[in-house]
Amino acid sequence: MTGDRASQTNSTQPRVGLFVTCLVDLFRPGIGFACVKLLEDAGCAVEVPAAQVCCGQPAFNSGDTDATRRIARQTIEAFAGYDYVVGPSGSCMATISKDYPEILKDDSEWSERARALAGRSYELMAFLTDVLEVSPPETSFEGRATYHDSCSGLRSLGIKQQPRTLLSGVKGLTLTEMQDAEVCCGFGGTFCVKYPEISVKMVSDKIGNIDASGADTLLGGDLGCLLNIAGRLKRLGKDVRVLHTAEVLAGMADRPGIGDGDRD
Amino acid sequence: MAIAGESFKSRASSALSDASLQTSIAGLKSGFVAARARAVAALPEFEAMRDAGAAIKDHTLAHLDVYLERYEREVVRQGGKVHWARDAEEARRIIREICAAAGARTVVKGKSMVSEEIDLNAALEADGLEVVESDAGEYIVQLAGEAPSHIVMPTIHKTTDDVADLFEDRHRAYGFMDRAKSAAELIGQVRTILREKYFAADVGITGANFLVAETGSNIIVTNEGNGDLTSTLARVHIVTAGIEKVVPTLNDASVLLRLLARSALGMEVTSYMTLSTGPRRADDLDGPEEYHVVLIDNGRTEMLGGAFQSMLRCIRCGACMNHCPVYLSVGGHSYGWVYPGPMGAVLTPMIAGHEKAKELPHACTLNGRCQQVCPVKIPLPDLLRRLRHQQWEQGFIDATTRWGISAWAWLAQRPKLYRAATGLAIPVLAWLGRSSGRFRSLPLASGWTAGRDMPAPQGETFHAQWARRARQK
Amino acid sequence: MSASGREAVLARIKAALGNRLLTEAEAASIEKRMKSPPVGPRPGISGEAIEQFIAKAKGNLFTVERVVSLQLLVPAVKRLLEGVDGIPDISVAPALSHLGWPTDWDINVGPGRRIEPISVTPALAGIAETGSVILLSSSASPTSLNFLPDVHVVVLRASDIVGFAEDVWARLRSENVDWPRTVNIISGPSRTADVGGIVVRPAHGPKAVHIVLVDD
Repeated sequence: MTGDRASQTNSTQPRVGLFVTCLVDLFRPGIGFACVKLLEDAGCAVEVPAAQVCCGQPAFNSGDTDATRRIARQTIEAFAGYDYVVGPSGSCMATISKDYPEILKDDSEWSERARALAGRSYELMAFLTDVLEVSPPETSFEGRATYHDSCSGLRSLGIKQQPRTLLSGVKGLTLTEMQDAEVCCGFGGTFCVKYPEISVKMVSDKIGNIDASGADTLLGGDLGCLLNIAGRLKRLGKDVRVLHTAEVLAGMADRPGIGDGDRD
Repeated sequence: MAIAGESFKSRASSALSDASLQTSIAGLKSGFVAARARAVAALPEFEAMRDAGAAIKDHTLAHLDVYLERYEREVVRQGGKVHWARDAEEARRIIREICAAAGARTVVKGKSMVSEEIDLNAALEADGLEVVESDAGEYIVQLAGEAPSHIVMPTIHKTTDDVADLFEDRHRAYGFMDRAKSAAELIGQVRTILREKYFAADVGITGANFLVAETGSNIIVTNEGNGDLTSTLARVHIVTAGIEKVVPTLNDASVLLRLLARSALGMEVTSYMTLSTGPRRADDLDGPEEYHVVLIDNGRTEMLGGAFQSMLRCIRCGACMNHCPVYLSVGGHSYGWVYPGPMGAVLTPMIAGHEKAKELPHACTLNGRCQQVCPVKIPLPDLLRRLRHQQWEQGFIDATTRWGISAWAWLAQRPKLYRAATGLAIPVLAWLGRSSGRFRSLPLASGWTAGRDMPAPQGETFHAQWARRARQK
Repeated sequence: MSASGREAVLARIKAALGNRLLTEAEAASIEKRMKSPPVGPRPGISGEAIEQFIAKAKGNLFTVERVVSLQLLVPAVKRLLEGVDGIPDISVAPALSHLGWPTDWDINVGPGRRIEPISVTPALAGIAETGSVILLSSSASPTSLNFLPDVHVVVLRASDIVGFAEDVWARLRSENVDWPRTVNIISGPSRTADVGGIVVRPAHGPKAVHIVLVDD
């Protein structure tokens, strides 16, 4: 099975199944490798079950609950047997830990398994901070950054301080809070293509706040939001680097930022 | 009020390019959002109050028949009359009959969203009555022939200049010949005109923020005092209220009033909170001779006892819209009916039906800020998602979305095929975008690329790289 | 007139709630809840209730004047009228009409008038939590006097200041009073922000409310 590295696991290491998320898989695999590094540095044995695709959120948020249930069961099956399931997105991990138990609660075969999976599923920053209680990693990043709180992570999972705590150890990085850091960037999954004008207005407001903070780097914990914000920043010709927090913490921020190319 | 015909999307589009509207709603953001945050920060008990408020509403809704009958009994004991209306049409008929029996010519109204919901003014005007809104904001939108764009601040879409233009045009009839320059002057005109109307009114119609079963009272909350003059000076006082407005006791109302003022305006209290109970007593020197309450269902019982019951906790504070980034982008009129913002996106399809409000549940990023500030903890994003599910089940989702989601979900359930497809496509896209790191346009992605670049994939997919790495070990 | 509406709406409610009868326990708990209503979470009161009342009332833009006896009410109103030309024309609630008002003033004892420069009415209680006054309608205190004047003078006894609205409800329940047509909880002058978001005072009611706080 692809990525089954169970043979390397020693018995005291927590076995972590990495939920890559589809956007990271497709657009920014570097975030996935940053997760692997952070988790391995923290003493975890990391595996990547091959049978994972997406958490099902696009179907769930579009009203197709039946398809979501099928995808949920596939995900539950794929991640059976791990001590923890960890992913670099508050949004996907909230779907797994909050929505799966809810949509499968009347399914006698799956409700217990959904609850069990939910109980050991974590967003990356929360896992490192709240479960493993790691110290901020010693790494460096030159920049003046501001942090966008993605909505699902913030409101469904209570992720607020964790990334900031971890970033506080990064040498050379100053973190300046922007106005309305907790306000939605306008991504909203399919919302951004269904209502592009409103979405662009919202992301433009976000960029106004990024500008006003004086930051040269935007950090966040959800690639959907970061693609949206980077996409608008680049369209406006703004020279702000956009990175996932994991990339900075793993010391893997030396490559072009999101939406930047070789020539930037 | 009739539901607007054109789409949310086209109304939103005009709203986004309306500079004056954008200026007006920006003020909401800086004003009320900040004021609420200060009020909440100053009150360590606020979270406990939200829990208590939600529990009071849940308890009452679970025994709604019991409390409504108790409430009715008390109203009757105090000499008032209670009328029950199944729908908007029946509510209008009841009120028209009360007005006719009173020989009414002039009706003054306090602010009442449910009266907007049942489109009352048009019905009364069709009977030849003069209907005058007394809340300054409602008065202004009535004069302008518009609908309120916010449930607490009806004129949030209007600047002082807009109002000055309107009054200059319409207040000559009252002898105000010169254009008023300041908000104070404009409000002074409203005060003068309404003072006469209050004394002329045969019928005063108010809403109710709460109905109290303990005493048979209705409670209204205002800052202007217009509701009080409406309910005190007219010969007949009619209260319009949704059936979900009842609470058991005065103590319960007190909990909810604390939440209401803070959530709506960021204030501890409003200037006036008034309990009206029955008509004037035998030896009273003022007050109405008749007191009627019209309890209105109009779709509420369909929410009761089911997945949408929590929506009936709503106390109409407007905090959800004040904190909604979509509302703050497009304003209230874009929503097309009486109730805008997140609560409206739930209530409109629930009351008026999906076919009249197909877009509203989707015009939301599910960011959850509304739920975070809701004083009675209504899980608005969850309710909106449930509405989307109903639409999916009932076939209200447009074909393109349905096809796209279904195709994607089909693929998502076939990991090997998905891996093969993305493993081929992504490197190509990455190669095409490697130089600039982004695309200015992409086929089938115009929704995205109209206002944003599309970041290019970094390289091969994670899973492709991970599989190779595993093979190399 | 709408008996059918009543039965239909109640039937819908009962159906939505599952058409079940209350259990004895539920009925008893509702009865108990109605007879001795629970008190919800409330803000703390800092220091003496009267001190907080005064501070909060001033924050609500009331003016507050403390006098040692009700006999000083008339002089207090006289001071408010200083600089007003002509014969004072004020309205006094019947409850306060016996206090020796100057015979050369025009005193309206009755409901409010279209033009109402000053009214003087009694409060039942003051609430320290919010700096509010509670006024009841009766033959001795018509409600229109609370809303029609330009300047509203509210007479409040210091001993009637309580912590919370719930304390007033408890008092009214225990006194078993006939419930009045109108209970006003007033927490400041009339105002609006409906034009351009600019706060304007007054809107329809008094532009100033003066509390005469009587020590007893």
